[in-house]
Amino acid sequence: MGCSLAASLVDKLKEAKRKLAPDVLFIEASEMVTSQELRNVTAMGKRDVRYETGPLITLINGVEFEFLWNERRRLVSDQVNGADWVIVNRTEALDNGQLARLREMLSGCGDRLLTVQGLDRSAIESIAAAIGL
Amino acid sequence: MRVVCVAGIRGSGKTRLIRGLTEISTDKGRQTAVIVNEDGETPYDDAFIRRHELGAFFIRGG
Repeated sequence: MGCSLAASLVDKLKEAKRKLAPDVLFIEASEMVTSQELRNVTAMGKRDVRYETGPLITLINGVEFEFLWNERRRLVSDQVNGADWVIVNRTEALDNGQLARLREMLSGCGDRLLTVQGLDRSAIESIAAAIGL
Repeated sequence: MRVVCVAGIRGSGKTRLIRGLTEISTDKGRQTAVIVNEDGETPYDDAFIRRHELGAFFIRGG
C-alpha cells in the first residue's frame, strides 16, 4: 500500500468517525493490501480519533485458492498470516481431496480458520456470530 | 466505533460478505458505514445504501 493510499484511508476513517460515528465501520480493502498494512493504517487514525479495531478478516474463494497459493503465494500468505480470521467460502464446490489440501495449506491458521459453503444469509450469520458482531 | 477490515483477492467475496454483515448489523439497530477502496464499479448501490442508511466512503487507487 502506497503512502498516499494509506493517508487517504486514514483520512476517510477519521471523516467517518467525525461525520457519522457509526457503531460499525467496515473497510473493504483492495486486493493488493496485506493484513499488516491494514493493521498499520488503522492504528494510525487512533492518534486523532477514538475507535476499536478488529477483527481483521481475510476472505478466500476456496475454488481459486490452490491456484492462488501456487501463483500469488506471497500476497495470499501476507493476507492470511496477519488476519484474525481466515474465512474460506465456496467449499461446496470442492471435492474431499481439494478440501483436505486446502486445510493442509492453511493448517497454520488453527482455530482462526472458518469454512463456509457459500455466502448466503445463514453462512454470514454464522460468521457474524464467530467474530462477535 | 468498531472498525472491521476485510481483505482478500478480487473475487473472494468481500463485497458480498460486507453487504451481508451490514444487513445483520443494521437489523440489530447499529449505525453502519463502509470505506471501499474502489478500483472499479462501486459495489454499493444507492438502494442498498438508503435501505440500510449506510454511510459509504470511497477512496481511489491502490
